[in-house]
Amino acid sequence: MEYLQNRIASWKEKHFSEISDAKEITHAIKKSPLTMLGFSIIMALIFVAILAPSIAPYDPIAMSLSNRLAPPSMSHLLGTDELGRDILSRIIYGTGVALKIMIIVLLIDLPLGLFLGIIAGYFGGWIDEIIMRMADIFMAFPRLILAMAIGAALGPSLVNTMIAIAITMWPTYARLARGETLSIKERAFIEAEKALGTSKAKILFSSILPLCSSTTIIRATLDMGDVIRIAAGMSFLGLGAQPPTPEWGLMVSTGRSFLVNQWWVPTFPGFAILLAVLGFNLLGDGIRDISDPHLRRGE
Amino acid sequence: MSEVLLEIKDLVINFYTYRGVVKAINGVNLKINKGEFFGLVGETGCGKSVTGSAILNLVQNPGKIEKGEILFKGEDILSMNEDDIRERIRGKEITMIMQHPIAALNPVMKNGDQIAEALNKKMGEGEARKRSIEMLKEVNIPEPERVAKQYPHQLSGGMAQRVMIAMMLSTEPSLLIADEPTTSLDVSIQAQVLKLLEDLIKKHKASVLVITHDLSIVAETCDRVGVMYAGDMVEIGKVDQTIYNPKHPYTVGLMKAIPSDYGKELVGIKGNVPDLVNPPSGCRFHPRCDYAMDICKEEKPKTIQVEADHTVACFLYEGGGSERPHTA
Amino acid sequence: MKDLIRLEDIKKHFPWKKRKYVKAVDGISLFINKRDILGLVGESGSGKTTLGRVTLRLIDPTSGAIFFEGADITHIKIEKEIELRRKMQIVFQDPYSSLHPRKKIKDIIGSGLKTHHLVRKENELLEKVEEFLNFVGMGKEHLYRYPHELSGGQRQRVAIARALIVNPIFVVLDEPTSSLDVSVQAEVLNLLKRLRENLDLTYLLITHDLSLARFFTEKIAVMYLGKIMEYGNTEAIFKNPLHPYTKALLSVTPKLDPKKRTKKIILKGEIPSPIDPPLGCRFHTRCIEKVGSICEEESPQSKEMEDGHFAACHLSS
Repeated sequence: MEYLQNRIASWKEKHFSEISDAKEITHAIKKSPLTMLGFSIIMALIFVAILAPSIAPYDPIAMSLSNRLAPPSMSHLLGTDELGRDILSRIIYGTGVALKIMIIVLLIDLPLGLFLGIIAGYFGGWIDEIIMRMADIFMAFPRLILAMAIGAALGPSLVNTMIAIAITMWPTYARLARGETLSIKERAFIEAEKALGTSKAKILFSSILPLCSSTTIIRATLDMGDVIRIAAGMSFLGLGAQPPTPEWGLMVSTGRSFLVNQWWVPTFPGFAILLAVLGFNLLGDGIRDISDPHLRRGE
Repeated sequence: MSEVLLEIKDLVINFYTYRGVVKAINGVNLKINKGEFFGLVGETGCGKSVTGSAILNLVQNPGKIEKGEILFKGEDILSMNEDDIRERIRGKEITMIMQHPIAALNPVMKNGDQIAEALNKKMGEGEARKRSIEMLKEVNIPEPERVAKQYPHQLSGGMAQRVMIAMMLSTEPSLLIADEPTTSLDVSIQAQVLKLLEDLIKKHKASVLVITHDLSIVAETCDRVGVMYAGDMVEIGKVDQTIYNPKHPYTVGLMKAIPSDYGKELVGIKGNVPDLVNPPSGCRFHPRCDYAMDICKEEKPKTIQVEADHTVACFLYEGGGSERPHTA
Repeated sequence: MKDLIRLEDIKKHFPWKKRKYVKAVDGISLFINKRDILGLVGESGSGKTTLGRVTLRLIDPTSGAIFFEGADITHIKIEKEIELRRKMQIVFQDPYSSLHPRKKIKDIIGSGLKTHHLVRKENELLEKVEEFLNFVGMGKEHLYRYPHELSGGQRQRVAIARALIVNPIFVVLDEPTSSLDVSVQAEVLNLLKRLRENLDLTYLLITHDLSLARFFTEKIAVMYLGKIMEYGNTEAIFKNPLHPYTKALLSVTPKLDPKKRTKKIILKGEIPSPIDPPLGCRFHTRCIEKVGSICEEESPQSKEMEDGHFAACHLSS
């Protein structure tokens, strides 16, 4: 028992700074109601996605042609769609799909963008030129159109949508990382590492990367709303998720012809998109506001 | 007997920050006489700059002046209304020059216009322009007509400070507050600016409050000096007495820490400047003082007169303590 | 006497806009003996900071040669000669930006140990870092802190520990105390002096503060616009300054003790830009002891006026 207490005490001492930082951040988040709201929404979405099999009342792909386009009722809280599938269950499972899209996009984009941005910023010269011109080319197109083009070239599927979206977004993060790197590399602690003989790779990875990642991650959080929107748009156009996958955008798309008489079919999935985008925007805004003075104080 | 121009009485200022209440100024008293150079000296966090801002009632949020009076020619500035201060005091009777002159000037206004702006109220536009060129000549700026048409970013640090001095003396103020006026300037330029300030002040018959961390500058340019530590005024007196015969242990410590001759040992002051959210009890200097007694931890020392025009806030001088600090 | 560092006609010109150059260092020759403390003294634009960096090859010179322990290191590939980096270290001016804000003190100080393979295991590193923290007057409670939790003086001590833990022979001190309060400055300076004794170091101190140079250094080189105006033993320069610039600087450095004050020589005009330095003697535009037109045409050579005391001035010919 005492051994455990000692271990805990020494861990606390080692990480005293992180603990007090975490306390400060949680305190700051609590103070901002909108950020709390965003945070709660995201947390709710995560829980719904994880617990989907337990909380969804029906199988999301189970059809019931006799019960097509039923309005919201006690047995189907959000009604049924054109194939008799329970809309609520589909939205619940759709949460998992949406989150999966976001995670995959992030997993591709953040490392890619950070890597390209940091080496462009640090080395300059032709490396910088090539990377930045590529970024310029990609950024010249409106995101949705570019994603559509790539999606169409790759073939309509959920996986290809994620790849397509990731490809449209890396330039933003690369630019951000490059900008940060340009100012970081002039600072005295980088010169100090050089004077100590630290290898370039180590400087990039352990000194510059940690300082770029916060801005980039914050920006990525703000962009998550966009990701969902574009994925939904791609599905809407038939390029993304394919039936019967319960993807929100696809649901809005296939449901749009029923908007007038069976409004619940496209509207509820639409609300789901709205809620998710809102949650990420609020959270991202809040985190950015909190981190700014925090970062400034630390540096 | 010199006439008192400015008197600060029992000034208390707090800053309400996210970390807590910073008790920045802890009951400060000082007097500035007519026609004198007064040096307010201290290290980081002592509150000297805040005191300077308080004189113009310019303490910004989250700072708040809790109590005290600032009597300028008999009137309490802290009780005057904002319009009155702006009309008569700020930029008119009391003016201020700061550490980074180029940043303090308006970047989108020509230099000459900035000086003329302060004068516009008193005279017509044409006359104000003429006067601003005269002021530029007075501060030894070469080719004043050309410089008047230039913008601040085209000036060097030394020239910009001289433009500021021109601006701040153009309204014939009674008091000029100089907050770290030469800290960001090179030594040879600093010499120019300080000499200029001395000459002009004599000519315009103003008083100067020099706020700085550099004791050597105070020793060379000022008549009287006030030493501040962590929000307290620990010693005030004529420069000759205070610097060459310092009484407060902190002042003594500062003298011993200034490098001069080779090999002469430098003695630092142990410990660190305290966090003013939780300042030490009693005398704020006691944790770092070699002469601290029990009473120093409990009560705040009163200000005691040790010679003519030389006061200290230290229990060592109350009722003849035996051990006194010295700079041998 | 074998010199540790020798600089021969070092020039560093930074390209500036179209075909112009900032001639930060414009022909400097210097030597530093083992266990010397040399001060590079100058104002803005003197080039002292650049020269300090060139000596370490943190910046490469435009022309000239650098010798370290007798070997020409001007053109070697530093990444391959990592041992050189261990032997020459630097302490920077600003303690607020010379430490990585997201790294713990233990990692900041221990970085050099890892790079130069001076320890093999984590606990060895911890031991060594703690040892050096104690050397510089701090304790193990600081090991896991971040820089922003320390005061300026403490950060500077960490910077010193970081530089010295790799066992260098030569350390450049770039204005090591100008961002610190006077009382803290004293402690850091005393620490540096003590460490020099204990670890047998050679120092190059870069500063604008003549009083500090007098206290700390044994030899001084006075720089102005990329050239050395005067060089010699510190005491000789203070007691008998030869160059008009040195005389002026000494006279206007504020002194606490009135007995040390002399009539101030207040230089007219601004410090010229190193992009277009004056022709002839750099200093002639502000010099009150000008000899004649020779000062505007010819750049004076450095001449030995007394034993070991050099001045670059036409007056002394």
